[in-house]
Parts: sequence; structure tokens; C-alpha cells
Amino acid sequence: MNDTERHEIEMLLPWHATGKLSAEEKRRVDVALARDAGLRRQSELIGQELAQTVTSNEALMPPRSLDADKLMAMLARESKSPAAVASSWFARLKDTFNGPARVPLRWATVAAALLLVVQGGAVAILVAQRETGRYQTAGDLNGTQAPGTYVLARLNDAASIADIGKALQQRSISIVDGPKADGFYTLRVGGAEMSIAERDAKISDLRSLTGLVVFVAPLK
Amino acid sequence: MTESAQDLALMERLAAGDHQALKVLFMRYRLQVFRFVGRIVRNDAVAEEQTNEVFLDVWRNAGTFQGQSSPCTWILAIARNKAYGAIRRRREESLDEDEGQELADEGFDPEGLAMISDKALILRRCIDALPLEQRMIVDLVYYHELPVAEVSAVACIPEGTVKTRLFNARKRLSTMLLEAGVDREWP
Repeated sequence: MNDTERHEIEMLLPWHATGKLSAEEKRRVDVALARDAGLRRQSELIGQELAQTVTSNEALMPPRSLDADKLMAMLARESKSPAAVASSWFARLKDTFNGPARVPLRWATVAAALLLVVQGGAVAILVAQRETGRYQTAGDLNGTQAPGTYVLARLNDAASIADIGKALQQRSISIVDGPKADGFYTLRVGGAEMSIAERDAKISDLRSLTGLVVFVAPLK
Repeated sequence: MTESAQDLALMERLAAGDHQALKVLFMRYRLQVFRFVGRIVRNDAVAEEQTNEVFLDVWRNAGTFQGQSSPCTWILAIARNKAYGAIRRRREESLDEDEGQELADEGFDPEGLAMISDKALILRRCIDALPLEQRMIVDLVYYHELPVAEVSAVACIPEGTVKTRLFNARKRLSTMLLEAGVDREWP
């Protein structure tokens, strides 16, 4: 490990302490910590810094007057409603995902077309339910859902089926449920053993697919 | 429904003009926002006022939420802007009144700290005495537990700068602690 590599590791140590690194970054830091006593010492110091930062934050308590009723009274004086915002993202999404007949048909086609490899080697076949516009996995058909790590997502209905299928397949990600009434899909991004940092890395990766994925969030 | 899905559903209801959704969001995040703002403005009354303003802005701008970050990160970004705005206004007012000293960062008194035997307390005092830009990153990483990308989004600085700023804050802590008689033997 040269000086540059060591310094990169040093800068990642705080996120190693909070479990917010990608799987690859965590592996690099773990290897470095095993070899370098100086880094291990820094890691101990970071633990102390973290504990005292939490204590300092928790000492700050809001006054009783910071209550919801006061906020509601202030809100009542607001003239502008967010609903008045033209073409809000949610409104567009609602149109996209919940339009009559159009969505179930389109995504039924997607489901029929995609055979997505679930991480670990198992294969999930998405079964379209044309009547309900909802999909079922093989696991769902058995009344069970396979153990795994799941995220909540909204997909870009304007994107091509081929592009979405290719992107998910390349990442061993499968659609396991949806669309729900609010337009969300459940995606399986990995096995149950996946760490939070690995899951967050998957989420970041999905968010980078800006033309295909509109929204991604962890399912806890 | 999961916490994330609940937040998203609340954001959607907000965008549709649902007052009750703001109330729920406020109850869920008011403590986190108050502490984040309070640590920046260092004044409970201002923190309370700005926390209310944050949620009013959340209400006003719910329709522009793009879902590219979590609702929590989005709210903290609004909170940062509100807190900085409050600091700017107070600075202008104080300069008018020639009371600029009031806005100085919490005093670092190494000699006073050297009288304290509790090393954890000394460390806490040093963290609280860090310059605002460094202290905010420390809080976002250690207390709010945000990953690098989300800290970057809240603090409006590149991810590389987030890492460097925290590293420099940690080095500064060592220097401050040494001045207060505590040798961390790093760097």
C-alpha cells in the first residue's frame, strides 16, 4: 500500500465506522485495517469522535413550543398550495403509471419479455396478471417471498423495455412486485446477506440510470 | 409499509396539498432538523423558527421533489439553506449594531479545557468548537449517518471535498486536543 492508497483509506474510515461504504470500499478498508496498526488506531479515535458527536447532538432538545399545532397554524396562513405547482413530478408519475389500461398492458409486456436472474443463481419468472396489472414471482405463487434485499423503485415508463431489461439483468436485479397502487415496484437487488453498504451501492448505481429509473429507496 | 415507502407516500400527499401529511412529516423529522439547524445557528429560538420555516418550505416545494435523494436528505438540504440564511441575516444585523463578536464560533479555550479531567468531555468541547463548515460535515457523517453522496447533496460540495473536509476536521481536532493537554498520537 503506497502513501496515496493509504490516504484514500484514511479518508474512508469515518464511513467505515458508520457502515456507509460500498462493498468494494469496505473490503479495501478491511484489508488495510488488518495490515496497518496506524489505521486501526485512527479507527479507534473515530469511534470516540462518533460517540461524542452523538452525545453533543442529543444534548440539543427542541423547546415545547416547536409543535405541530403551531406549524399547522402557520400553514393555514399559506396562500400557495403545492398542488398548484404545474406538472409536479408526482402528477406526471401518476399519469405515467396509473393511467387507465395503458400501464398494465405495457408492463405486462415487460414482464412477459423479461427472464431475470436473481442474485445467487435462482431464476425468477415474472408472471403478468393482465387483469390486475400486477406481477407475481414464482415465490409469490407459492405464497412466500424469497429471502433477499429489496428496494422500492419507480421506473421510467418512457424508457424502452429492452433498455430496462438489459440494465436490470446486467445487475442481477429482478422486479418481484408491482406496480402497486402508488406506482412503486419492489426490486430484489441481492441476497439476505447483503450489507447495508452493498445495498446502498446498488441504490446509487440504480440512481445513476437516470433515463430508466425515476426513483429508488431502500426497503427496511 | 416501510419507513422509506411511508416517507415517499407522505411526499406525494404533500404535493397533492394534504396538510396532515406535513404534520406527520414534521413529527417524524422535527428533532433531526432542529438539531441540525441548532448546531449551525447556535441559538434555540432561531433554530425553532428556522425549523418551522424548513417544513413550510417542504410544503411549498413538495411538487418539485424529484426523488433523486431520500426525503430526509432533501429536507436536510433545505434545513442547511435556511440555517445559513439565518446566519447571514444575523451577521448583517449584528454588523449594523457593531456586535459581530456575537456570531463568532463557540470559543475554544485550551487552558480551560486543560482543567477538565474527563477526556470525553474535552473531545466533545473540541468538536463543538470546530469551524462551522467542518462541524456540519462531522454532524452529517457521525450523527445523521449519511453516506458520502448524501452529505455532498446536503452540504452542496463535491464528494471529494466532503472526504477532505472531514479528514481535515479530524486533524484539527487532534491539534486542539493537544493544546488542551490530550495527545491522541495522531497524525
